[in-house]
Amino acid sequence: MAAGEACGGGWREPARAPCAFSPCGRRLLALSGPDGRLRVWDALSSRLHREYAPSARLSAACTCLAWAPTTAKEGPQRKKRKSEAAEAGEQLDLLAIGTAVGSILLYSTVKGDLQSKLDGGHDNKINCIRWHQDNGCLYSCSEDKHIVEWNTQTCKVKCKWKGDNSSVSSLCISPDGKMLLSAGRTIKLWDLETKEVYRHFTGHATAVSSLMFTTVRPPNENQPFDGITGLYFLSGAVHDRLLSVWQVRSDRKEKNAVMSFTVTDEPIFIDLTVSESKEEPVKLAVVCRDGQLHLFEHILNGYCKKPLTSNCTIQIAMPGNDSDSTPKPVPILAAAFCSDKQSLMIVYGNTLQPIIERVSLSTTESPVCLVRDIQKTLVLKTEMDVTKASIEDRLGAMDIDAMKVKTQGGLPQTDSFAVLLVQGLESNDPDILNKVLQTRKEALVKNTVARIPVHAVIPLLHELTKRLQGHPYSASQMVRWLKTIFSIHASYLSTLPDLVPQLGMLYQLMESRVKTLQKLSRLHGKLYLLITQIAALEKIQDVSDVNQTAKLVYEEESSEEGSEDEMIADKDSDDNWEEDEEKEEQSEEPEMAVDKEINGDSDLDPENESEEE
Amino acid sequence: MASYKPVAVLPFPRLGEKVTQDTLYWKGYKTPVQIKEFGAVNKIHFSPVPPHNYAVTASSRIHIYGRYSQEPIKTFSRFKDAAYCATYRDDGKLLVAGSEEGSVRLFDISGRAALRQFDGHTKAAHVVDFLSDKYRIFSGADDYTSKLWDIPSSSEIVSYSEHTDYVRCGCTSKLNADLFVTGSYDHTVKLFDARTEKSALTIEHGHPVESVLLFPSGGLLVSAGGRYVKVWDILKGGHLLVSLKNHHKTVTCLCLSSSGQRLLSGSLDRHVKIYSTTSYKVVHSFDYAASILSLALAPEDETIIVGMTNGVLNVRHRKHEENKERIPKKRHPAYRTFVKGRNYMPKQEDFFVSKPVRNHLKKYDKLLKSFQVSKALDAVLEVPIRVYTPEITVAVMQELSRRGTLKNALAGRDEKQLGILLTFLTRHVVEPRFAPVLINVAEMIIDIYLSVAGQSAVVDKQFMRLQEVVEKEIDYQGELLETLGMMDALFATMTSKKVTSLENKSNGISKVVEQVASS
Repeated sequence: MAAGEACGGGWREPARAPCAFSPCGRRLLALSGPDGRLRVWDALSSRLHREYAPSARLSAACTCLAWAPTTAKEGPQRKKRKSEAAEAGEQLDLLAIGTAVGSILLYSTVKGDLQSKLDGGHDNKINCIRWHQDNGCLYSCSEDKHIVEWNTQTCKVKCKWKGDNSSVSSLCISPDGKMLLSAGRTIKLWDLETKEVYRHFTGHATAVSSLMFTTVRPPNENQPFDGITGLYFLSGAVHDRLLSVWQVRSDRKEKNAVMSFTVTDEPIFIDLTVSESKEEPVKLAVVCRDGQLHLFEHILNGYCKKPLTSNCTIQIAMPGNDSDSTPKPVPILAAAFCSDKQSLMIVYGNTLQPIIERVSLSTTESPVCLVRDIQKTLVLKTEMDVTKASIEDRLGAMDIDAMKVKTQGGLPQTDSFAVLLVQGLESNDPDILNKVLQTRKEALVKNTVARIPVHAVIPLLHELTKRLQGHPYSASQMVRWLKTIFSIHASYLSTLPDLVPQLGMLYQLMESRVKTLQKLSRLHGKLYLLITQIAALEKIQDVSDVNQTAKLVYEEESSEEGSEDEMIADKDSDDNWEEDEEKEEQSEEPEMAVDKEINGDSDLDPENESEEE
Repeated sequence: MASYKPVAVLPFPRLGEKVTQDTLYWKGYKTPVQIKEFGAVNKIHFSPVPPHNYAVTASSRIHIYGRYSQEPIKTFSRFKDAAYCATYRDDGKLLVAGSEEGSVRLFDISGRAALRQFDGHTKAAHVVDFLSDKYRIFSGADDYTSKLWDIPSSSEIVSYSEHTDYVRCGCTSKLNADLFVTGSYDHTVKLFDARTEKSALTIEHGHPVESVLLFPSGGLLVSAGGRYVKVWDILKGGHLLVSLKNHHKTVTCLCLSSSGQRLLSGSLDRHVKIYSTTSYKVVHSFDYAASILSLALAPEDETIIVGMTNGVLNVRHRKHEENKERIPKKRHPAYRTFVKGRNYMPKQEDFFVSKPVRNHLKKYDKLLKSFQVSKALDAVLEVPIRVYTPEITVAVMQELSRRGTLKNALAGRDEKQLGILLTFLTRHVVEPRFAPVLINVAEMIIDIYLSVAGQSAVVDKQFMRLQEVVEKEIDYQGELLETLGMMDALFATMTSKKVTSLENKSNGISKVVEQVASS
């Protein structure tokens, strides 16, 4: 069961926030945060455009998002793709939200409120939603193995059929709108008229998480085009580092994937530019679970044996703090190509407050690491009035938090330290032993020693024997352990019949080391004397240093004046000096003179003191 | 004329760390090559024939790698779900693998599609292997059964369902074509004979068995499960020879070195331990980055490969000695020159002239011989000697102090040289083996340079540092003295006990003696 959950849930588990760019020029980004709220960001200004908190967001978390298509004349239905015109701005309206309980919400960004709710089709988690580009239909698939076709006008189920033997995890509608791809483990191509399976594609071992058509025209332009044959599509699966590309063929012979792209981790967000003609390469941007973005550029042309590696890899990092200068990686959440196909919109940072940045593409340099200071850019203002959650909701949220705290309030640390120590002793693992033995907390040492089982005492003593030979800085730590052992386990040790041979080596080692104590103490005495002398010398030197400088300053003046009355001498000298300066360089600014005056004062005082001495 | 005696450098062995033949042997691998696989690596198997390619089973694929290649030279990927346990046949031409849906597939190394598919298991077949007659395959599955298959007719020969839980490991005997062993999660290891209907032997391991291994001689069986590795004598009917507990998490894989003298075990605790098969003690240990699932050694121990849960394959190749030896060869005269005439047997009429053996002196010895004490000290304070063999430096200092010329050698040094000397002292004065000599040196330095103290900030800082270290060491020794006191108390109770018991005994004996005498 656990395995089923892992496969089915995969990339849409709550930790992985569903997000979608609006189809029209990538102007808006819908992102569902871990708190269950849906936020719509303006991609150009990085401002919060809308925030919506579904009333049932805590029980029915958002699992997938899809924007309604803008114009009827667009190519393949895909939630995130470029559009040729920005005129459809006002139509940029409906957002379909799939939930974990099987209902679909239609949210209008213009009204800023829920428009309608599609209910009664699924009784389990919605895995994927797709809009039909022409007739305003909506297709959804779910954990309950079914695919449902909805009429969004009437909010009724138009058709519902069983899509797979296990959960259906992904959907995609063909560019001509007559076929539908669905995928659980295997990928099926359905005829939307008859709802019959047209083709099967097998090859992924785990649940397919994403499906996308990559071409709109067949590679061979001379042949008559029936709308589907010869098209390529792309699929990515959960726990799979390969993205496969498949071709729909006229013959029924089922083939393997024609080619594949390798990435560093499981893909969580994919975007591509659809290739319109034969020569135009497909550009593919894949965001992986490890937070990296991979870019591919490839002309699809039949079978390719080797998996392709990325042309360019983009990472985002935050500059380190002052203490350590190693940059910290910042995960990329999503990426989409802009309408010019030459630049890329990258979303990174926290899901609650993502940062959207436009980056121009150059596939020549690879890999690219962009260093961004998130803390500074995180001062984005939210100017929208946000919908307030009801008190009931808040109470619910608080309950959950309290539960979490209870379950996470883990065991006391000393307990695990004792376990760790015993494990380290058994497998003789230096890493574990270092971690435990180098602890500096007195109480921790005591508790750990008290909790270790008695059979681990002798091995621990042997380990400490090894470590006692080291530098006093680390070895004194070991003595602390040794003392604690002797004080806590004294009775156990005294019952051991072979105590003397067991500890003989330790005893001799310690004894030989303390032999030098007397000589060392003497040496220390000498050193101490030496250092106190040096310190005394330094003190004298400090004073003499000041003396010298004072004299230097003083030399500019006549040297006799200093020896007379202090105050008068000061004033006199200062006045004279200023006058002198004015005479010498009349155009000089007065600040300089003031500075020097201060210097002269401060230097004079110690000089006089020393003379008094 | 008495010849000059070179300075004796005493070796000071450190306690605890022993450099054995084994550590040298197992450290002789290059830095590992990491290959990323598509999922947890559940089996690695070397082809028994040169060039010894190896098959790696991970996720739904089997990759064949060349010995030194980092890219797979061949891939078998026609599995709908996970593949398991790809194993070569003895002639390296066929490969068998189990799969999640329960079918066992046989591949030709040069082909792509399966030659044979054996269907019969209802659940995942986790272990498959060839029997040593090359024409039969045994398989073990999660449906608690283990089956034997005939390759030519692709039919099932016999099925054993004696286990009461998943069968997850097994191996075949290299000597007897009918013997094979299976290990199961029902905590038992069973030995089967293909000629009989029932298991020949059942061994209770005590934990879910993760891996089994037969020694090449066939007499000993090793099983791994839980945190234990156990060695059994089959010929004695499953008598437990040794139980090894050197891992702190489940042991997942076992492997024998090519000579059969060493046993390797890999575990979820990220370690590979190497045991001697004569003493069954750990002789070496490797540490890896993630939990280990599979392990394989190439013939002649040329390569050690470890597959981990995070899908990384760690490949280490053995270093070859050629490069190492070339450099020292240049420096030393050929061996010939030393043995020239050595093995000449003197005849009776030969007149024997003894020629003293010319001994090469080190630089510091030459200087000491000519009483250039200051220069001798300079020579041993040069970087390679001072850093890598401080015992030589200390030995020369001791020699100087024995001659009473240490003061001369130390005197008259400038700021830089004094700085080096003080750094050396700071670093080594706390080492018990050097302490007696170095404390003397330090005292002498202070005596000589006390008058010029405070003139150089660098030297002053060095003195401060030395003082810090010495202070720390004194504190530490104080603590040690306290601990010694504690131990004395402990030992005192021990000895008093012993004495009393001895007294009792002696009393008893004397009584007996008395009795004897009286009677």
